Amino acid sequence: MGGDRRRHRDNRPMTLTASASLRDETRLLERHRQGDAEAFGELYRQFETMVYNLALRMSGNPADAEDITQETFVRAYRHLKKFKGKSSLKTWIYRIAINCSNTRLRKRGQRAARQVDDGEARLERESDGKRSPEERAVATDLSEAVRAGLEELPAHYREAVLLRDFEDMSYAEIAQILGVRIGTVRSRIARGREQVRQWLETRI
Amino acid sequence: MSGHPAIELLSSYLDEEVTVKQLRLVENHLEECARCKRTLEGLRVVAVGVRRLESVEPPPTLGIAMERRLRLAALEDVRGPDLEGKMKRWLGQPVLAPAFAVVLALGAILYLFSYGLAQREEGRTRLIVASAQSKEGEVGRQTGAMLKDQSADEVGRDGEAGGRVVADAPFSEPAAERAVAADALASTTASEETDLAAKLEPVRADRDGLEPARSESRASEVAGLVAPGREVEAAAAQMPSAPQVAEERLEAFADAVAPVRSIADRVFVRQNGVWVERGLDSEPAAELVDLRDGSAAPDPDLVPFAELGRVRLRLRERVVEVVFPPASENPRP
Repeated sequence: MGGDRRRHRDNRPMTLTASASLRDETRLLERHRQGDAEAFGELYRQFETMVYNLALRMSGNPADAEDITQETFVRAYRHLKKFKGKSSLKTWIYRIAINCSNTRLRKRGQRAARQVDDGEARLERESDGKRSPEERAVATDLSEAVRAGLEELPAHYREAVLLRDFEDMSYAEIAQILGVRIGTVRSRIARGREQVRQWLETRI
Repeated sequence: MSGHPAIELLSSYLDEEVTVKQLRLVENHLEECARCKRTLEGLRVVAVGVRRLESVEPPPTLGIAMERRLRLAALEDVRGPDLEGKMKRWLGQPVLAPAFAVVLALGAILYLFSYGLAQREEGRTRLIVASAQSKEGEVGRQTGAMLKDQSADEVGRDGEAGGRVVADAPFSEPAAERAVAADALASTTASEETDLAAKLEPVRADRDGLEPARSESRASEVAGLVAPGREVEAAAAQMPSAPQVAEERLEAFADAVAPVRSIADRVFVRQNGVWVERGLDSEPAAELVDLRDGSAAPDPDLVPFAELGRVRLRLRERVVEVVFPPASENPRP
């Protein structure tokens, strides 16, 4: 139980990546403060996919995801010199991305857009080649159903579930990103999962 | 544990975000409760389903767009955002956008309010004119009665019934002023309203220059000579309202600048330089008397009509008064 959580999505041990990335972050920030134009480019390449995916899951729409990603990095660029390092750079950027996503969702009325991402579908089809047909069928059905269920959630439940289960973050990290207490995070994750579970029960 | 664990506890148990005590409580409960086991399994399916969502590579165009946005941001940091950028940023603020909307709404309300005030002010101006007309009309009614008596004396005939006194009243002193006001009532454009002021000014100046002493003397005359008899009371009861009077004045004014005039329900046609009542013989129907000195007015054919100013139209059996607008506003018929 929870064994998957101890390894990051790219399969690197969390403890090693954390210390390495902390050193990298410090160096990156120092270079940026000294006016190295390349430093922010590196930061962008490092977090681009992560931010884009979070934005895509939050908005459910590739076009919105692109806009949210751009807005996130523009804000990060503007405020990076003021970043004090109280949290990790990753947490800080996640927080910006969540704020940008919520701003976009507020403008649109909270719900994620129901729009199938062609690129995502293609990539999912390609990655399915590594699985057995049975696994593929189960994974496709389950992921698709869960994705649809996530889109039904209110934004504050959706972001908590995504940060926990998709980004594999601890409750403490999520609390830091969302700016809420751990008890609130616990509650949002539980209620979000429960809503998706009930949604799946009525449809599967 | 009494009852079932809360969904928060089951979800936290799934994430290993529970204390040792909570862990034991949940595990003990799950051994006995199939329902909570099913719920926990359902939560696990959701968590696994989310975890299995594939990571998607951003489109290549995103990097290009991002580079452009960052360059723009860097430029703005140096020069400051352009107006459009500033507006977007301001309006993008969660607090400022509603504030901006409120300011816009207030502006709209103020505009409508001031427009309403302007309309009201114009209405008030009209009301003042109407009020002045009403007051003067009162004197006019009395004067009309007096003049009717005078006319009866002079012509040697009885005046018409009390109803005709009412018909006389609209032709009392402020007739043209009312006509001009009525004209304004009928008009809608601002330029016409300006014209109204221009029209009224000389007429009022003329009246003010001529009338105070005469009005006072006439009022005393009326007070002394005309008792509020039954006829006058009946006339007052049937007195048309100010808008009706204005409407009648408008018609009278329109007729006054035409060769055919309708005055007090009687139609006069200009024939060979004199006004003749239609339907009667060619005997002149009216005599123009200049009220300024009481002498007979010059031939209206020779003197521009408007130059006559305030005149008394002596008809067969009664006398009415008409104030004509200045020359510029009153083409000669």
